[in-house]
Amino acid sequence: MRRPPFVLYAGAAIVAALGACALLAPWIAPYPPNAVDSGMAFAPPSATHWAGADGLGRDVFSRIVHGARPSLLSAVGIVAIGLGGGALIGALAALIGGATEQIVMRVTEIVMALPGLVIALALTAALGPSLVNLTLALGVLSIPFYVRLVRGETLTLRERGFVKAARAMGAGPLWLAVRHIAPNLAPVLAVYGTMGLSGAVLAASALSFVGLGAQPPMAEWGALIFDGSQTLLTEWWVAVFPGIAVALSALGFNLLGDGLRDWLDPRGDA
Amino acid sequence: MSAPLLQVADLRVAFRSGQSWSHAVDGVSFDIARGEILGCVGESGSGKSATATALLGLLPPRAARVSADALVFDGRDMTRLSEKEWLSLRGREVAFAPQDPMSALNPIMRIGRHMRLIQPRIAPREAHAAAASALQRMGFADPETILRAYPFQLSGGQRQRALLAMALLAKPKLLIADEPTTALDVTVQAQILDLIESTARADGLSVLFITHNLGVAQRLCDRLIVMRTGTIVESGATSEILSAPQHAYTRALLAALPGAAPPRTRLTQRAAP
Repeated sequence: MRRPPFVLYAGAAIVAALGACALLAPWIAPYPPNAVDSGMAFAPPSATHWAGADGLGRDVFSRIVHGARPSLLSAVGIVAIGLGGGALIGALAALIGGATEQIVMRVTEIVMALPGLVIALALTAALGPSLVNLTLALGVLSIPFYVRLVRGETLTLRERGFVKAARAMGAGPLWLAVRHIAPNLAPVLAVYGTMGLSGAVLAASALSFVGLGAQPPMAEWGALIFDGSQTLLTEWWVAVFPGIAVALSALGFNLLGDGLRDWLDPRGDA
Repeated sequence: MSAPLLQVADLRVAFRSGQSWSHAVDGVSFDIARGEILGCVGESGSGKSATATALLGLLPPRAARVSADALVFDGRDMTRLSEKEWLSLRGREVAFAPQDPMSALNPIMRIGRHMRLIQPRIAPREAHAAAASALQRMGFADPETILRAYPFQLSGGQRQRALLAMALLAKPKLLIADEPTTALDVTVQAQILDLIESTARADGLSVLFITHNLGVAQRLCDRLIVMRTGTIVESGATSEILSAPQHAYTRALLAALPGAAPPRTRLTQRAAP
């Protein structure tokens, strides 16, 4: 195996740090996320409150650390739904072919032509604002992207020598799908799934920002940014630090995805 | 003499090209007896591979049209087989040895896993033993190592022998070999040809050996059919065809062999003393 590229380590480090926040929030955060201390309202960053405090005197750093869990969980949920559904539909469309494939791809194109975030907004509003509904809406709307990706990859794989040879040597559809297609799709899905996480974090916090995701007093990055947006010019730390958390996680997933691609892509060897 | 294993009469294969159909195989007839090695020679595009693909039932149904007066394998009419029946035939009774051993194996699957393909319903231990002995018959001294190996750990010749072991694992009646030695060194070629020949002679395996290399065909085949532009231009015993070719195209193929009488060109004339 080749030596992994540097960006892979950089991305993995960021993602691992954020993952640790999500898993170990109560032990990492210096304060409980919803501990109100009116004496500390809008306290600027200091030694006791590293990222300052919000209007209710809640420690912003603690809220960011606790916010990692809902933010990352919904991102993972979005990608799991999109990638899982998309991979299944895309691979089946490519393998079945004919009218089925045509219909699936036309529907995919129609959904992709819609402005995703706006539809997700409407969908979440209709389902009722909550983090679960937000995850469902964004997940389902990201399916078409993975359908196209997986269909294309499957069509390429089907023409690879070993798939054709296996068919000629007596492989049935199940063997081809399980032994040849799926394992060779895995690296591509790992790369695009990881990169999809960065988009998912951004989209989830955008919807939470407009109040369709996490409901107060839950600490979630998008909701935290909204909390601070009213006082951005005076008490900037309330919005800026959660914003940095969102940006950092998006960067981390992108670096990790890039690194995985460079590492797993055999064509990179040349 | 019993009925031939494979009877092909007036086989036609056409591929859709836009609105019209182009005829890749245009009325081909031949038989293969049990235990016989039939060579099918011809240049690229002569219809050799299309014939083989038709015999494996692998032509894309929407893009290709197959018809034949008779296409009988071991008493069964191949033109009437369902996809399910093809699946039980392919790899089990009609085996296939692919052209390019470098690309014919899944790079992320061990050889042992590849060899489970032909025998999915057998207990793992028995399957393992059968695979090991099949590899041993193909000249591997240490089949256990090969079963555990990934394709990239094997040389081209080793891969082709592993593929042959896979193809012959289910003791098929007919082996269709599509230029199985083209991608290999000459010394390895000879080894593969010997393996095919000895298996055919020992097990009564019939072989349809497709090649564009007359030297290879001469070494291995009992009979030859010479194809050009979708039709058979000449057929007969290998020695007869090679010693007294009747058709101009066969003579042209023979003349193209390296080591045959060199054509008189300016180059060879000037090279003479």
